Amino acid sequence: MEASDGQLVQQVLAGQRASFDALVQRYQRQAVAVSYRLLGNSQDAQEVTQDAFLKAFTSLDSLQKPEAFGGWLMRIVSNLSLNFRRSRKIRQQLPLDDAFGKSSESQESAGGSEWMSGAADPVHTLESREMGARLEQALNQLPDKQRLAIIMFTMQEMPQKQVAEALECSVEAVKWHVFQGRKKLKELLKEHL
Amino acid sequence: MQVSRDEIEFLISQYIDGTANELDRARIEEILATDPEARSIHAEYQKLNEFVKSAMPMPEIAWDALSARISTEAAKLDVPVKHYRLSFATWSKAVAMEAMVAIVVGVIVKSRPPTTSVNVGNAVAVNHAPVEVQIAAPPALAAAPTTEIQIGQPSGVAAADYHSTDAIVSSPTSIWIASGEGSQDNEPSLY
Repeated sequence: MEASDGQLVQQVLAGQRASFDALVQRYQRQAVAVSYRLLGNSQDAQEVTQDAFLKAFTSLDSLQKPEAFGGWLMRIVSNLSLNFRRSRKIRQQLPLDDAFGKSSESQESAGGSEWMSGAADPVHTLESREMGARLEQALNQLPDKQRLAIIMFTMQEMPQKQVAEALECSVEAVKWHVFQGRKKLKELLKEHL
Repeated sequence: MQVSRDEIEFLISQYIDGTANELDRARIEEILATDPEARSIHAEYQKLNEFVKSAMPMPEIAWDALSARISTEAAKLDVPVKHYRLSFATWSKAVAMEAMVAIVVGVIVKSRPPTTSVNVGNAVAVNHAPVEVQIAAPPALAAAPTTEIQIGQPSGVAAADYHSTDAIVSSPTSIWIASGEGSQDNEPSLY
């Protein structure tokens, strides 16, 4: 039988590093997906995911409920992603010529959204890229909790309880955040639906 | 019962997600069956849900390379060790709880007499030691007024003139003395 998250966490704390690799295998897809939907850039999402796992590893002893590892990790991923986004915004607002003494770089190399810059995976059609860009724009207009609730619950289909742990709120509050976010998205995307 | 549009939308949102409870599910199904506006909202939310789920597909990621990178970086770090820390709030609660238990146990032990049990076959006889109750003696009445009553032959009366009786009946208000054979004297005595 597969070890539970709680068992793996206890094993890591007892010195078994291999158990942490099992946790990475279990959650890396979810972590990258959540970060990607917040950042719109797969390279940035992987970088943030790596940082999130390392942060989780070093502060694993502070985790109160080992069984809630998934929600706790997603909280770290979303916090780091939001911080990354803010710092990226500041970087993009800086006149690069003045700041670094070189010519302006493309949005992509500055870590911008692949959807916004049209640099998304080449397998995506033009139409799907446009859809992605529109959704990303609309998501960016939502308050953090509503955006995270939509990304984790609706897009990523994470269990409500895990979303509640990630957002540090009740399951009922998750339902409410999803509803409020959905209502706003309906308004923002009404021309495209 | 009148349901507001906002409430209907919230119910539809939960219904689409499959998170509505049984009661709400029955309610919304009833509303959807009778209310065309509710059906229109339901269709909009379903369309939005499909759009949200499909609009930002994940690109190809080299998962094995990513997990290997994380594992390599984690190997450079010290293994975390579980530290058991007690916050002041937890610590003070524990102390308060212990103190309370100690007080309760102390009161119970103090108030119960020691018991000894004696096994008699299958039965258990419990011997309760007798409880001694000490009642302090009341303080002596200081200089309480006393009246001495002498019963017997009064001084200065000749023995021949003195008749004692053993039939004295007393009542709160008067003392009756029967003297002599067949005496039915109802008049209260003056002494």
